[in-house]
Amino acid sequence: MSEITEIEKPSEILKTVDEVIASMQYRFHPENCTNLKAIYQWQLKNPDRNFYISIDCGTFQITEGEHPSPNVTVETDTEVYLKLVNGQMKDVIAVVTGKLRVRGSISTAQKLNRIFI
Amino acid sequence: MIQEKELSEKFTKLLQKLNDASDKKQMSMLLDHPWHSPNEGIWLKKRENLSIYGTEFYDYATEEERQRLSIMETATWWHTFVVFENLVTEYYLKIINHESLKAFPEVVRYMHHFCREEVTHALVFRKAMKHFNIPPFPVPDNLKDFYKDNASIIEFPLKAIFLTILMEWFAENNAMLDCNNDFVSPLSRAIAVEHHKEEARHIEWGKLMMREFIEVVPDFLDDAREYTAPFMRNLLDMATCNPETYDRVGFTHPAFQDYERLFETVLFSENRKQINRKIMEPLIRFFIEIEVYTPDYHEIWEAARFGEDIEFVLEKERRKIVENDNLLEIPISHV
Ligand SMILES: [Fe+2]
Ligand SMILES: [Fe+2]
Repeated sequence: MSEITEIEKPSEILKTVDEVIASMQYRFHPENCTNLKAIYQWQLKNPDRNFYISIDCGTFQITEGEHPSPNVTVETDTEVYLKLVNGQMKDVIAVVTGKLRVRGSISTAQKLNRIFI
Repeated sequence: MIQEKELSEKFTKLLQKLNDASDKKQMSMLLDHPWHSPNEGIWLKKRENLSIYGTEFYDYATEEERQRLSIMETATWWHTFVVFENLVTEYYLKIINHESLKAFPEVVRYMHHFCREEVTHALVFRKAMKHFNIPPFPVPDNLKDFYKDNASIIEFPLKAIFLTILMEWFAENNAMLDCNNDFVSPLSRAIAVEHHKEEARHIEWGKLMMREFIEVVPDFLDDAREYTAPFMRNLLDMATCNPETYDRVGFTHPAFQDYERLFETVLFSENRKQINRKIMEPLIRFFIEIEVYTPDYHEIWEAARFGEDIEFVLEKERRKIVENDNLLEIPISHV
């Protein structure tokens, strides 16, 4: 879906998923999730990497692996994910070409673009 | 308690009218379309509504490819209708069986009509695809997910009804803009127009349900204010273009190989913006009326690229330009 990814063009290119994860603490806006409890799951392919972000009323935590019942699941290729994060691909293009799949509650999903800016 | 709610007189009257209309005449798979009209060289949608119209890609395409694109883009729609009409019927029958609307038997009676009509629609669209020898399209997972994952049945199914009319209303506006004109084959036009006659009732019923129950379903509005804009944006974008449609046309110009550029050009073209605005205008007026859109949530609409469209509608309101969006009152020739 077009509005949920956490992209805003970062000042420097993030080359790996680890770098993206490390950058999250700087992009986190607790004031935009003071009332939210939600689990966002990422399922990346090639190479495979699963992690989820738990948002709990203004705090967040990243955990490796799969959550049994996430509110939102984002499935994509690692390459596409990095392009999206770095603003090299528009999320809408990833969605319509089938390269990005978003499952779960759309209202929870769209909150994400205000949580990590 | 919702179940104890007394229905307003206006609601009851209109519901009666809708039930009567369905009692009187429903679409027939056999009788209501000119199935014998010729197939050779026809267009199924208007040239100006091809996804590539008004972009450089239109110039790269041959006339024959454009004509084939009009067939494929319409057929993807037909196929999407088949999938969604089946899904909606499943949901609505589940709602009926779940008995959450038991207290309102006339509503349930209308839902039976609704399901019967959707089953016929799906059969007609399938018949049309066979008629033109077009195999089924894979429906994008994202499109199915958005509906499936969000229309879950809660105690009172207002959200499922809301998401359903959003899809029906947007799809109808799109189909009528594409096909309700002399340029396209009489069969394609009849498929759109006959469908529209029943969809107009479905949509007006959905709007009626919103107006009647929105106040009494807890959290409905808060939730709808968050998801409606991104939901609509996804519908519009995913309905505009999909890779399979272009693949099936088999464009010869090498520019068509670069999907990312093709999709970006098409989705952000001025022509598409204008078509999308025509599709969205009456919906936005409805969102403003039922307060799914309020200025407090403008940021969400802006992020979903509806900022200018909202402004356009608000400006009309400021200039006191009144539009009649009641689909039962708009003559089909004007839709
Ligand atoms: Fe239908
Ligand atoms: Fe319908």
